[in-house]
Amino acid sequence: MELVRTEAENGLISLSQDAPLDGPSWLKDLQDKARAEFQALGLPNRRVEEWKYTDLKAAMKVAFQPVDQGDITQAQVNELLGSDLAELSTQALVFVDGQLNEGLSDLSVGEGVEMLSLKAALADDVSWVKPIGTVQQNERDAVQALNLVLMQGGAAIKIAERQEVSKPIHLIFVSTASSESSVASRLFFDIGAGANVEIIESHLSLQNQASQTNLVTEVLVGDWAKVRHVKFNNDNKESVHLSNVIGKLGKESDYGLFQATLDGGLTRNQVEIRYDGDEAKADISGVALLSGKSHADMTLVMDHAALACESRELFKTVLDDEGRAVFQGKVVVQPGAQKTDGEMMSKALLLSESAEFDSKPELEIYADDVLCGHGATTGQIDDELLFYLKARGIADAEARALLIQAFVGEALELIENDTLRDYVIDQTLAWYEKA
Amino acid sequence: MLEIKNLHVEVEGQPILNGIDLVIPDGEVHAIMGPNGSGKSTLSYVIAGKDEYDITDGDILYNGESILEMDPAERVAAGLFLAFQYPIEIPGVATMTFLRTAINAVRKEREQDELSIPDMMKLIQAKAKDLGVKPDMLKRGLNVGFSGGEKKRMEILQMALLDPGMCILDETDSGLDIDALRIVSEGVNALRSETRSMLVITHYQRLLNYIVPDKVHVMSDGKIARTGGKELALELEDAGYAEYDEELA
Ligand SMILES: Nc1ncnc2c1ncn2[C@@H]1O[C@H](COP(=O)(O)OP(=O)(O)O)[C@@H](O)[C@H]1O
Ligand SMILES: [Mg+2]
Repeated sequence: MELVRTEAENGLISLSQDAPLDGPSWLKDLQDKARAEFQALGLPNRRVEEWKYTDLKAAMKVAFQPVDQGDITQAQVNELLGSDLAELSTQALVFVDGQLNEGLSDLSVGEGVEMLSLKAALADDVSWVKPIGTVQQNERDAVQALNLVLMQGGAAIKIAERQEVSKPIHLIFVSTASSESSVASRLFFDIGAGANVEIIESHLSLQNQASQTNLVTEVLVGDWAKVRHVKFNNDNKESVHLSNVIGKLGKESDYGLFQATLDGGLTRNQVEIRYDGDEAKADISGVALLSGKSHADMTLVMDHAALACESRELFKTVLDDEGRAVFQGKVVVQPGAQKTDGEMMSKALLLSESAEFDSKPELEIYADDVLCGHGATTGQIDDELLFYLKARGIADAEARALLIQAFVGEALELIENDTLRDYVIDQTLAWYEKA
Repeated sequence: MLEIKNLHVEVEGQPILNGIDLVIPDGEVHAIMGPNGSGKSTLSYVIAGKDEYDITDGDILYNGESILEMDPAERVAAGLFLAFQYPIEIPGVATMTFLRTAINAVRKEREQDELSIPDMMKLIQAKAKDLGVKPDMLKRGLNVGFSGGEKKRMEILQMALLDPGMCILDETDSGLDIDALRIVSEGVNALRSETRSMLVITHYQRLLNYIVPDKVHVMSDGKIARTGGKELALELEDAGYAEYDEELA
């Protein structure tokens, strides 16, 4: 049978003939495999179980091309970040159109912190980046395979054992293109035992052009390490943003990931967490605020393969217009992973009749002594609450904004860094004013 | 002055208020008493502008102007305030944020300057103290985890802060023990003035020992069945509502 390929698939296959990054033979082998996987799979579509509600093949008409690194100044980056975020004291790496911009980045070697551009780390075959492409336990999907071949740049970051990293590491991805462009990036973190670090990821666009982003983040969290990771993106309405966070947690480690999505075109935030050591904890939460025809998909796999680990997920989605959100949360408890404690909750607030929320929680449990629960709710703004606020002189629009804020607030509380939390709150407030 | 004229109200085709006539001049306190289900809360909601009610006949005038076309927030700015029988819990909206938002919204509609944050805090904290509202309550989600008495005090605090000309209190006494009843009544009495009117809705006479009304109306089956002075409340206390309540009669 001959495969019928879409224009986008043909474009991606031809792009993937040459991998942009040069690396050691182990990488080339991985890339050869990944290239073949993508050719066999094509873009994920609704007939692929995990992509049932997000038909990428149908949504992505053409494959945009990567562009050369454009010009941008520190002042422009700061303006895009907004004053709160720009003033936050961080160690920042700035990726411009997929390439690490060394002039804008702070690559100074702090105590116990090693930051390398992915390009340099692979070219030099740095030994500790060898797990790249293999952190994942499950089978790669087509998007992950594509990233392995098409990745243009990114960073490899190593935190030494017991290192308390004082400033958050801020990864700033900026697109400067004046027309459609694509970016494929990869981040690799090796976080030493007992280390403590905060990671911030911002995705920004200078000219608000449509982009296709494919980002894979691999995080190895050492025993007893604590990681707080916050990611936000606010893409153009024609953009495709495909993100994968793949984490592996050591004994008694603690990983918190919070993702905020504002509008965008098609966004998929996919997360796979493997509990490798006993008593590890992860909190994977987020908010999505979607208007127009924005589509956001949150797909999670929490894979418990050790004793007494804890998973917490809280997602709040607000949908206006024809916004569409998908939540797929799967908790797997492997044989022997006794005392697993998993709680997953996804709540959507629908502001319009034409908005849609699809929720698919899944529990796959192969151990008997576990505590796992999940819930999902979909609702509208409560008229009784709205009337109460109006009966206190608060006008309709402001009353609604307060109630939306209250709805997402429960999730936003999970962002520990005050400045970041205020920043995300301000972004959400700006969204209601627009909506 | 509040004037209610021949007010007929239905919910989903079901008549609830059947021709209410009531005038409350400036500075007067009127009480409405009546059996459960007689339409007291409905009347208060209709005055406040809740939209699930169909007004099939009649009018409500405040200071000479019909309020029926005004939305609820505009009515508050005009000077009407309803203290709810069942205050609503709103998790995630901090009480202090809510109070500030409400005060500034009303001030803006009244073309008064916005209060600075320090002035606002001072004002709220002072009035909160008078009503025995603990600072901790202001930090919590609105009404979340408040006891019945705390919720009612919060209603009166809001009333004091929004400076209304016409206060409607719907069963503010229900669920209050005697101490809470006294604090709340003192709060209400402190707001009595020559320019401010009140409509106190209650099922029991007890509240009217503390907030002494100029007139008492008995509501039955969506109508004012009888009007008298404050002694009417005592009469009802003895005789009960049997005379006014078809189900009890
Ligand atoms: N929203 C509503 N929908 C249906 N029936 C209602 C509604 N509000 C009030 N009613 C009915 O109207 C009548 C009067 O209710 P209410 O005004 O609450 O009386 P009261 O406050 O005097 O106890 C009751 O029979 C009640 O069931
Ligand atoms: Mg009532």
